[in-house]
Amino acid sequence: MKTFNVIILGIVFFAQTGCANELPKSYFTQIGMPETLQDRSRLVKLLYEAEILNKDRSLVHLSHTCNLAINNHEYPVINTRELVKGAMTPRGVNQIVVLNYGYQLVKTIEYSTALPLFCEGNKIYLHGDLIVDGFSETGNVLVFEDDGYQIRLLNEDLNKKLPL
Amino acid sequence: MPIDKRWIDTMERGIKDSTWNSYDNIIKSEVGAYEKKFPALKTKVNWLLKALLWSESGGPSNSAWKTRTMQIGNIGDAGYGVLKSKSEGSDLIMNDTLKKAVASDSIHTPDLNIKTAIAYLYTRMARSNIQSVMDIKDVKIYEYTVVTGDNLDKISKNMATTTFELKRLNPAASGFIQPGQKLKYHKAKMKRVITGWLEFNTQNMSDRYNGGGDKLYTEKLKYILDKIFPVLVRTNNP
Repeated sequence: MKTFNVIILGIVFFAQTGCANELPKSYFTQIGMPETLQDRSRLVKLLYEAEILNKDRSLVHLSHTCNLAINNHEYPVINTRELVKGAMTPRGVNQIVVLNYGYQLVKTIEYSTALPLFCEGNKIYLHGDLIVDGFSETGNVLVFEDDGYQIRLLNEDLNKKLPL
Repeated sequence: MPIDKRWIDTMERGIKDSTWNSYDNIIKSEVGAYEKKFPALKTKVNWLLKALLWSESGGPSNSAWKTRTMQIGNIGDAGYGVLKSKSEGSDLIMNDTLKKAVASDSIHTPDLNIKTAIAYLYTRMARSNIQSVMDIKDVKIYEYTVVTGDNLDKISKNMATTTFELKRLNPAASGFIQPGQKLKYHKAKMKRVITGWLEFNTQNMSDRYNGGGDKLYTEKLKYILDKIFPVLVRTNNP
């Protein structure tokens, strides 16, 4: 398994929590507090080193969507979108990347249009149905078990979750 | 967002230029072979594939037309890697000739590029999972007597069967097994099996082949199918 250490996830955590002091301890490492954009670039570098991202493709989107909560630990979920260069019609390589609380890679899941929307506990809610290689069923909710290494798909009515 | 006018102009050149027809026979022969191999495939996909080819290649005036016609194998493209590594069930889709070609040849010639791309599309449209599959060359029912220290996983490995098969033929073994207990089994392996197919339509083909790279991909395929193909001036359509 490809593993890597992601030092810190960057400014997105500030945006989510409002204040660096409120970040859980697990977000910090021996090098100290996140340093905004420098950390983002470090995350990108590490994703390239882990061959999750490919230098021959154009990275057009990278964001921290949310954190999964599995067995009282937080698992950052990263959304990446790349395009194959030079194609007459741009082909996409979109991935949901799940890291563990030590910022090691747990799982990557490819998607076309079912982008990750938000997390709730050990679930990631998606925009539309996702097809995962090796699974007969499709679903708009990814459920993570076994410390994030096992997944299954569910179908849930997202309208019930909207604050309308 | 509307489709770019230049793209429409390019595609409309295909209405009267029969060069755009050059690869119809490859499409026909590949689709025919897949229909024969997978009788569950019902949708006629010749025109859908032709639309895909036009959209991917950009037509005869584009350099890709005579090299990587369907754009598979471009640097950084994940699709070629799937076929090369025989992953995602692609080994169930490709014939032996294509497997060898994909592993050893350059796929930068139209014939091979189109065949590879079609194989990739069928791979992505197939629904498959890992199942316990009985050995069709040995359908005999064997019997095994449990000894101390056994568990179903250990027995399945030693007896060339699967835990699924052991549980299927011995429902009582789903819980505990005891020394002296006799278990029936067939020889079996866990294998990837195609269980069904996504419907071959513009939306699914766009999602599964384009991977969400071009937000207008579905619309482009529909445009070719609905606005261009019905007015083609041709003699040998697919």
